[in-house]
This record gives sequence, C-alpha cells and structure tokens, in this order.
Amino acid sequence: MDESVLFSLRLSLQVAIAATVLVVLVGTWMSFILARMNFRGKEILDILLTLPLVLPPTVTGYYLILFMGRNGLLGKHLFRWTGWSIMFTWYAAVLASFIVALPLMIKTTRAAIESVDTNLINVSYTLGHGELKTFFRVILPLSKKGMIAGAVLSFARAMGEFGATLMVAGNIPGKTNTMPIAIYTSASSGEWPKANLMVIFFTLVSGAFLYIANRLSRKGF
Amino acid sequence: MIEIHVEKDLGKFFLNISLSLQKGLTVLFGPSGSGKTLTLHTIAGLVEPDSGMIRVNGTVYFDKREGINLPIPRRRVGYVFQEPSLFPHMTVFDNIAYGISGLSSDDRKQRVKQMIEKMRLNRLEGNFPHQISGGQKQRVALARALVTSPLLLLLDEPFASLDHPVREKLRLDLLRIREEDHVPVVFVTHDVEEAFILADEIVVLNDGRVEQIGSKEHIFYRPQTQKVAKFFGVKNIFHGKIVDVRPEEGKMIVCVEGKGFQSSVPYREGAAVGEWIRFCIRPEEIMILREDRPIKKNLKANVFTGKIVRIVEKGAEDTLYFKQGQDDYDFEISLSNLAYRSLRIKEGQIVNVAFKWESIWLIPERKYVLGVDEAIRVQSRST
Repeated sequence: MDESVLFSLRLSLQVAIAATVLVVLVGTWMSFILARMNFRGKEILDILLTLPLVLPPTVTGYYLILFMGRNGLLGKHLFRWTGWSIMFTWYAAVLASFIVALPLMIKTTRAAIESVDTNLINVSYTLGHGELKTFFRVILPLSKKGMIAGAVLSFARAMGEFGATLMVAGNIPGKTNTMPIAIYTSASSGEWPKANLMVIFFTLVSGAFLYIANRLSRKGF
Repeated sequence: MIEIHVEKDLGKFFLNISLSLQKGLTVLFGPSGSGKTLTLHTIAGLVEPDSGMIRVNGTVYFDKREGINLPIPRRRVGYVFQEPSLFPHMTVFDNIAYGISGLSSDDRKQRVKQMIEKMRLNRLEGNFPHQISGGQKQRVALARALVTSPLLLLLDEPFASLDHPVREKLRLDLLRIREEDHVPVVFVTHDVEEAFILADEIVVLNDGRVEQIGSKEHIFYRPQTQKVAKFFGVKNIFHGKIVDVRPEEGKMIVCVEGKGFQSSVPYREGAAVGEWIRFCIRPEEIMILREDRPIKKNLKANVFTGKIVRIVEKGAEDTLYFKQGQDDYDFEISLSNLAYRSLRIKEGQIVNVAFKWESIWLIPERKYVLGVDEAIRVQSRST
C-alpha cells in the first residue's frame, strides 16, 4: 500500500483515539453534571456543548480559530507564554475531532445516567457513600452500556472529521492530512485508485463501528 | 429518642409535622398523600425542610436556625423503599456488603455471613437480584440496611408489593429484628392490620399534619378525631344533639342527626343539653341478641329493634347492615363467621341489637396538632 495512505490511516487512528479519550473523560463528567445537578445556566451549557452537532463543521472550525488561533482569545496567551500555537499541528486535529464528537458522547451518556433509578442512588447515600463513591460503584456500572455506545460513536465521528479539522489543522502532507482530508486531496487531483481504496476502507471501518455501537447499546459487554 | 419538628411547603402540599418518638417501632399511618413518605425523606435527608429541626439520639440532623443540614451519608439511617432497590449489577453478597466500611475483608465477610444467616438468605449469596423472589429481595434490602448498624431504620411500605403470606413472614422477621437489634424503626404503611401487628406506637398523619399519636389500643379504641376513627375502621360514627343529661346516672341521651334514633352514652364532664357531640362504636362491638335469652344488664341501655338489610360474607368474618328507620342503614355490624352461622340470620330478618356501655367512645375532636414554633418552644422550656 502507498506510503502516504498508510500515514493518513495511522494519523487518523491516532487523532481519533486521542480525541475519544478526551471525549470519554470530559463527556462523562459533563453528562454527570447535566444529568444529576441543578444550577443556573444548565440548559445554556447543554446547548453550547451540543451546538457542534448541528453547526456546519466549518463554522465550528471557525470558532476554534477564534479561540485557539495565534491571535485567538486563548491562543494569543498560549503563544505569548510558550511561543507555540496549536494551529496546523496534529493536536489541532485532535481538538477539532474532540469538539465535534463530544455532543454524541454527552447525548447518550446523559440519557444513560438519567435512566439510573434514583432510589438506587439514594440507597447508596444512606449506606454512607458520598457522591464520588456512588458515581463509581452505582452510576457508572449501570450506565456503562450507554457510555460505551457513546464512546464508539464518538470514535467513528472523530475518525471521519473533515471540515473543522481542515480549518484548524490544514492539509499538510505527512503532517496533518488525516484520511478524510487525504481522500479529498486524491479526488481533487484525480488519483482515483488511491481515493477508491481509502473510501472503501473507510466505509468498512465506519460500518463495523456502527455495528459494534448497536450491539453494545443492546447487550452491554 | 427521635425528635422531628419540620415544615415543608411543596406548593400544593404543606407538611407541618411535630413528633417526638421513643425507642421501638413507630408506625407512620395515613392515607396516600398524607405526607408519610415525605416525613421519612426529611429524616433521611433526601428532602430538605424549609424550617424546623430533626434530632436522633442527640445527633442533630437538621437545624434551620443553626444552619445544620447533615449530609445523607453521615446520618447513618437505614432506608428500605417499597421497591427493593437492590443494585442490579451486584450479587446478594455484594449488595449486603455495600455499606460496610472500615473493616478488614475477613471481618467484612464474617459480618455479611452473619446477616445472611439471620435474614434466611443462605445459598442465595451468589445470586443476582433478578434471580431471586420479591420477598427474598426485600429481605436482602433489609439486611443491607441493618448490616451497617444504623442509628435508625426507616421503612417505606416495604411489604406493600408482596403477596400476603410472604408479607406475614416478613412482618415476623421485622419483629424479631427489632427485639434482637434494639434499633428504632419508623415504619410507613396504610394497612390497618400491618399497623396493629407491628406498632409500639402509631402516628396518624392526615394532609401533612399529625392527627393523633398513641399506642395502638388508643388509636383503635380511643380515636381523638373523626378522621382517625374512619381510618381505623370504626364505621359507626354518629353526630348527635344532647337532649337529656343525667350526671347522677353517669349518662346522657343523644338524638342522632339524620337517623332519628336516640342513644344513651356515657356522661361527659360539663356537657349540656343542646350541645352537639360525636360518638362511635366499632362494628365488632355491636351484638345481635338471641330471642331465647334474657338481655344482660349492661346491654339494656342501648337496645334497638330493626331489620338486617344486607349481609356481606367475607370469609373469616361477615358484615351485616342493620336499619330501623328510613335511612339506608344505621349500624354496620361485624360478626365472626362462627357467630354468624350459629345465629342463622337471613337478609330481611327482624332482630334486636345492642352494645355495651364501654364500647361507646365519645370523640373529643380536640386539636392535636402543634405548630413547629410552638413545639420548639415547649421543648426548650423542658430542657
């Protein structure tokens, strides 16, 4: 197989795995807050976190530039302190995939946490366990199925991220050209055999992931 | 000693409870929506009251003025819900062991084993909740709460969803636990039989307020309000006007409203002609007189002649409806099936009925409810 195809495949997997780890950590925490706590601005937080699901990825990418670009709200300070900018690195691809995949995790996990019987949580409290222990010993095991399904979906979404990634990580061959971007490049420069190969591969992998997600949300482990 | 003086406004419902409970088993009794569960929730900390205080054996759980609201895990109450609420992903053993903390794994095992023995759960420890019966589940839930040696056991209609024989067994288990562990229990139910079997003391709630507190004999035979009388199946409750007072004979004559008959009831200090009173007789206290026998002296004051208009056979006992005048019926009479059979009564038959003097209870209708502030004042004066 072509050396550049292999690179894109490896980069895509690397980005998707890193983004999924972040998605699972942040998404679980956010889902717990949204499902179990009541505070002002809860619905606004939910909307902000869900927006990337419905916005065009280019718009999400544009926001990321506004925040993280060398002159962005946060990126400006980061650049001043460290002389480093996340833009046009593979980290930017991870960030874009993370933001775009996060709502999928939150939607499924929040629903799973909310479906845990409140009595079970109250029983755990009365038996002397606080929020943290109750979370790890009751809520987490009982919402595991939904969380795993959410993680698998997020992984598939992160693998396929294109628009936002292109905006913040660019299309630098051998550096930031993930598979979807490589497919775009191949197609636009008429390299059909290469594009075909990658498209078929991508379809199979995504199909497999959907199958796994469905199975897990039905049966669990 | 458990002291609860709380208020909670839920918009449509207002809870205003003031209670002081001694050790033993207290039954919180009341119709659905009377605030029983809400009261348990405030004790456990699942609901925060708007005002007042809760203290259990000297530990302050909640005190609005002092700004104390002990977190649920630190209250050390055992709570058993109507649904067993076992952790579905844990075995019976792990469910019971869940609340034990600060013990070595051997001691822990030992503790759980003892509890399994005690709650008749042998050979079930490896099973998951979906593999055991409803009664077994509720025994696991009880074991799980008891194994942590709680300061107080709160049971919210724990047997309501079980079959009758299973429920009877579990009640006996609970009585045994109470004797062995000396843990104070607050038990919520709306089942009269259950309340009578279990209670050392009964608290009757109605519409978010305490209607009466007392021993089961008191609640059963000396209801302080018409509501309590109704809840505990007194059935024959009459409202009447005093037409004659004879303190020297210790009696007064009451003309019953809407029924048109007169009854002789025990004299109440200070009662005067023209005053309205309420009195009641339990249905099992009314006797049907046999024509072949002379009327006993203590029955003579209240003998009535009328017709049995309806009979409802209920198995162990039977209910007969008796009327004299125009109304649908005057008395509801409950007979044991044995007595009913030996009397050979048919619907439409004319009979004499009577009740003993001591069976008549004059409902005082005094207000039993204290407001929160009032109760706290009373208390601070006594300490």
